[in-house]
Amino acid sequence: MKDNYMAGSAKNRKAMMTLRIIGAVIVTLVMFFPVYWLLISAFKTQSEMRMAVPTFWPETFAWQNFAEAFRVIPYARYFGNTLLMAVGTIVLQLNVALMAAYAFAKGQFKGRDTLFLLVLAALIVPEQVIFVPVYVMMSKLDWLNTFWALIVPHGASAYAIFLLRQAFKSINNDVLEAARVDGAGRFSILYKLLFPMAMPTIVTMGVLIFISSWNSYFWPLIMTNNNDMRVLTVGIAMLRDSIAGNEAMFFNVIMASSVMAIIPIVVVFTVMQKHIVAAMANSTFK
Amino acid sequence: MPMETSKQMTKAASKRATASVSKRMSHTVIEKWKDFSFAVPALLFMGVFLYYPLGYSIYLSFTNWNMTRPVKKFVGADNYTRLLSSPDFYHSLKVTFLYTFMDVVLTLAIGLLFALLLNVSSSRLFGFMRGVIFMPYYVSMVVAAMVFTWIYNGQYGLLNNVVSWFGMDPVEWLNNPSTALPALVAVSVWKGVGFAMILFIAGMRGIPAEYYEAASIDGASKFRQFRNITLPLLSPMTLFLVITSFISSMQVFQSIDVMTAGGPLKATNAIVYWIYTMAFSEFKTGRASALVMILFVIILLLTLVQFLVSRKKVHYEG
Amino acid sequence: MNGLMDSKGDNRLPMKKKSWLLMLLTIFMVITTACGGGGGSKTAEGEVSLDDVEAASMDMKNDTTPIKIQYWHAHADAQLEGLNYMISEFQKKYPHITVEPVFQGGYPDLHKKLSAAVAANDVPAVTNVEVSSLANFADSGVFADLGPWIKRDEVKMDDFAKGMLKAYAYNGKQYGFPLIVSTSVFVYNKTMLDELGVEPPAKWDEIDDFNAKVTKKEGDKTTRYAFSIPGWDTWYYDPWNINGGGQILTDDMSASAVENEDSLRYIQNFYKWQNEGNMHMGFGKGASDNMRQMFLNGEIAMVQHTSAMLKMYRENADFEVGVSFIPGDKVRTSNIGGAGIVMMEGAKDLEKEAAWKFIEFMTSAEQNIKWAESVGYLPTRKSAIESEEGDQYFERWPQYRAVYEHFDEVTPRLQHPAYPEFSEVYKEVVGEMVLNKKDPTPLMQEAAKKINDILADYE
Repeated sequence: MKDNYMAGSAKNRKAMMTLRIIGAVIVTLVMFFPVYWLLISAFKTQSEMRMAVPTFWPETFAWQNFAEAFRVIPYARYFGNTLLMAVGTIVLQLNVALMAAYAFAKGQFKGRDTLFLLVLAALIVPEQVIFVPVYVMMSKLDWLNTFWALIVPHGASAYAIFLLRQAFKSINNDVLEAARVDGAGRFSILYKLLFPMAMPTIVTMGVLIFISSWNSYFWPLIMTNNNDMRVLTVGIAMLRDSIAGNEAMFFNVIMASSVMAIIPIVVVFTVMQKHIVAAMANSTFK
Repeated sequence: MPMETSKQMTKAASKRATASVSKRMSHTVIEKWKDFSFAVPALLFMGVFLYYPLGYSIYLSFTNWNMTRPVKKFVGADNYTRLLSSPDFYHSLKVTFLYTFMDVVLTLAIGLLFALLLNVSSSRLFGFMRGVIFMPYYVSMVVAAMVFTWIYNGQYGLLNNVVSWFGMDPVEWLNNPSTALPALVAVSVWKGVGFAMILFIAGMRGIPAEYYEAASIDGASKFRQFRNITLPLLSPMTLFLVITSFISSMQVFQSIDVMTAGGPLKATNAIVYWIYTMAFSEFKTGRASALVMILFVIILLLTLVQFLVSRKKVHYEG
Repeated sequence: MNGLMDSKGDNRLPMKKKSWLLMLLTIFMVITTACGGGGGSKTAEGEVSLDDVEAASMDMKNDTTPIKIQYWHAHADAQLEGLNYMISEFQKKYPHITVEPVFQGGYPDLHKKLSAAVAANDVPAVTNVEVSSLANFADSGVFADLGPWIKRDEVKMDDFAKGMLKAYAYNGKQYGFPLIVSTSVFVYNKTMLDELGVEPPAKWDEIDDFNAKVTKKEGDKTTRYAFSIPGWDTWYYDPWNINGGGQILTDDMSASAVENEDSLRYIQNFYKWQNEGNMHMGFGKGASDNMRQMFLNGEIAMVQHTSAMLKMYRENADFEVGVSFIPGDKVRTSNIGGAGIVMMEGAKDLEKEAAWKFIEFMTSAEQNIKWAESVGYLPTRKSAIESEEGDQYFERWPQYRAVYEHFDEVTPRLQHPAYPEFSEVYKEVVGEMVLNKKDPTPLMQEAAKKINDILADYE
C-alpha cells in the first residue's frame, strides 16, 4: 500500500516536472523571440524584410547590413565612449553610495532620517524634467561634450544608496564595534569590513548601474553635441534618422546596428550570468 | 558568510541592533560630524544636480519663460490654473495612470508566475532559462523599441502575421488609438518581468523550508501553501517591486519617444513626454515646469499612500 | 564660470576695434548710398527692405584669422556626399575657415538641441532650420538678421525664387536662405494612368471623374485607390485649404479661420472622397512608409508627397513615374518645404562673418544645380535654372518640369511663431477623420476655439 502510494507520487512528481519543463521552455522561447527576431532581421535583405509572410530564417545572410551600419557609425569610438561612461558612472556612483549608505545605516547624526527621505525622494524625479538647468550648468563649466557631463550629474543614485543602506543595516553592529575597538577608522570599516560583507548587493548594484548607464540614451543625447562624443544608443537613433528618416525602409540596417550595440552587454551577461543572478538572489532588496 | 548575514536581515533584528548601538556608543559631536561627512558627497550631488534644478523649476513654473528668450515674466499661478482647467491635462494623467496600472500589475503578476514556474534550484537548464528571461532587462530601451516597432509594423510586422493565423484582420498596432498604449505596455512588461522574476525567486528562497514542511504535514494543499506562506512572506519584495515599478512607469518616456511620439491622437501622451514636448517643441518652458511640479506632487503622494497602506499588509518573517 | 570668463574675454577685442570700424563703416555707407544703393531686392510692401540696414564691416570680410565654426544640420545620409563636397570646395576658397558639420538628428531633434544651446548661450555659428519653425526662432531673436551682409556683398536677391526667399524672411528681415527646398507634388503611376487613358487632375472638379476612372473596388472594399493625401503633416493639406479659398488664420493673424465655410471646403471634400473609398489617407508614425509601399505595389495610383522623395520613387518603382502639381480650385498653390540655412545671433562676430561666407557659398548660383541634384532637392536660383547646366538637369529629371511650370505658385507656409503648436490642433481633426471616421466639420469648430486659446496665450 505504502510503496504503491510512494510510486504513484514519484510518477506524479515526474509528470509534474515534465509539465513544468515544457511550460518553462515555452515561456523562455516566447521571451527570447523578440531578440531572435532582432538577430535574423539584421541579416535579411531589404526585399526579404518586405515579404507578405515574414520568413523565420534569412534566405541569404546579408552581411552588408553590418557593413552599412559600420559605415555610418564609428563603432569602435562609440563603443569606447559607452564603456568609459558606464565604468566611470559605476565607480563614482558606487563610492558615493557606499559612503552615504554607511552614514545613513550606521552613522549617528541629527536629521539623518530626514536627509535619507530627501535622498529617497530623488527617485521620483525623472531626468527629462530637470535637464535644462543642468545643461546650462554644464555649458558654463565648459563640460558639454566631455565625459564629465555624462558622468558627474549621475554621481548620486537614490536607488543604490537605498539598497546598500539596507544591506549595511542587516550587518550586526557588534562586528563594527569590535573593529572600532581595534582602532579602525570609518574608511577602513567601510571598505575592509562592510564592503566584503555586502558583496552580493554591491555586485548587483554595479551590474544595475552598468545596465542603466550602458543603455542610457536621453542624457548622452542632450549633453553631447558632436560626433566624437556620442554613445552607441545615440548612434543607433541617429543612424535611424540619418538613413531612414520617418521611413521604415532600412530596418534591417537599424537592426544590424542594434545587434552591435547589445552584443557587448549580452556577452558580459552570458559569461557572468551565474554570478550575477546569484548575487541578485543574495542581495538585500527589501 | 555574507549570504547568511543578509538573510538574517529582519526589520526587528536591525531595530534591536540600532537600539543597542545607541546605548553602547557615546557619540561625541566630532564623531557625529564625521558620520555626517560620509553623507555629504551624495547630498552634494543631489543638491546640485537634482534639487537645485527642481527648485529652479518651481521658480520657472511661475513665469512664462520660453527657453529661447532671455526674459522671464512672472505670471503668478497662471500656469497652474491653466493646466488644471485643461482637458489635455486630465487626458494625459489618465493615459499615465492607465499605462502605470497595466504595466505594474502585469509585470508583477507575470513575474511571480515565472518565478513559481522557474524556481528550480539544482538544474542548469532552469538556470539557463532564467538567464534568457532576464535578458530583455539589459537590452536597451532604444533597441527594444526599434525591434517592437518593426514587430508591430502594420504591413510587414510579425504580429499581424501571427494574428492572421487566427483569422483576424491586420491592425496598425502603434497607429491605432486603442492599441497603441497596450502595445507600449507590452514592451515594458517584456523588459521588466525577468527582473521581477529574479527578485521573487530570491524572496522565495529566503522562506525557510520548515514552513512548507509543517504545512504539508497539516495537509495544506499546494495552493493553500502558496496563499498562506509564499505570498505573505514575499510581501516585502512585492512592495519593493510595486513602488519601484510604479515610479518608473509614471515616468515613461523613452518608448513613447521612439515608438509613438505621444500619438496617435494623444493616445500615448503620458505626462513626462508631454512635459518634454511642451518645453521643447512648444517652447512653453514655464508651463512645462508647472507640470513638473504637479507630477512631482502626484508621485510623491501616491508613493506615500502605498507605503502607508502596505505597512499593515506587509509581513516580515521571524 | 570658466565659460563665462572666456566669452567675455573674447568679446573685448572686437569692442576696441569697433570705434574706428564704425567710422569706416560710415564712410562705406556714404559711398554706397551715393552710388545708388547696394544690392538687395526691390521689394513690395511689408517685405524685406535693406534701406535702413547698416552694411556689415568690410574689415571683417577680409580678416583671415583661422577660425573654426560648427554647422549643425539634419542632412540625411544620402545628402552627406553632396555636403562634404561643398564643404571641401568651400575650404578651398576660404582656407582660413574650418567648417565642422554636426548631424543632430531629424528636424525635431535639431530644433530641440538648438533651443537648449540658446538657453545655455553656447551656440553653433550656422545651422539648418526647418521652414515652419523659422518664425518661432526668429521671433525669439535666436537668428541673426542677414541684412547687413546682404547689403555689403550685394547679393542678387532677385535671383532666388521669390517665394523661397520669403519663406526665410520674417517681420521684414531676411534671416536665412533656402538651402534644401522641396514642395509637395502628386507623384503618379504614369504607366497605369496611360493605360487607363487619364491625366492627373489639375482642378478640383476633375477629381470626381478621375476617381471614377481609377478607383477599383471589390464589393465595398477598395483594392486600388485613385490617390492618397498624407494626413500626418499639415504641410500637405495647408495648400488644399488655401486652394479652396480658405485660410488657416484671419488676415491679421489674430484668430482662427479654419472653421470658416471656405476653409472647410477642402476637408469636406477629403471626407467625401474618403467615405467613397476613392481617397486613401494615412496618419501617424509609419504612415508615410505605408503609403509609399501601397503606391509601389500599385494599390494607389497617385500620391501627394514631397518632391524630395522623387529620386526614391524613380529608383524603386517598376513602372514609369510622373509628377504633377497639386490640383487647384480658386487658386493653385503648393507650400515650400525643406530647410534653410541661418546664422545664430549668439555667435561671436568673427564666427558670424565665417558663417555668412558659408551661407553665401552654400546657396550660391554657381553651386546651385550640383548641390540640388546631389541632395535631391530643388534648385533655387533662376540664373542656375536658366543656364546650360540647368537644361541638362531637366533632361535628367524631366519630372521636375512640372514643378517649375508653377514656380511662382510655390508659396511660403503660414508664418506664425505659434504655428508648430496650433497646427497640431487641426491636424488632430484630420486624425479623427482618418482613424475614427469622424465628420470633420463639427470638430473644426471645436478646433477653432482651441486655436484661439493658443493665440490668446501667445499675446
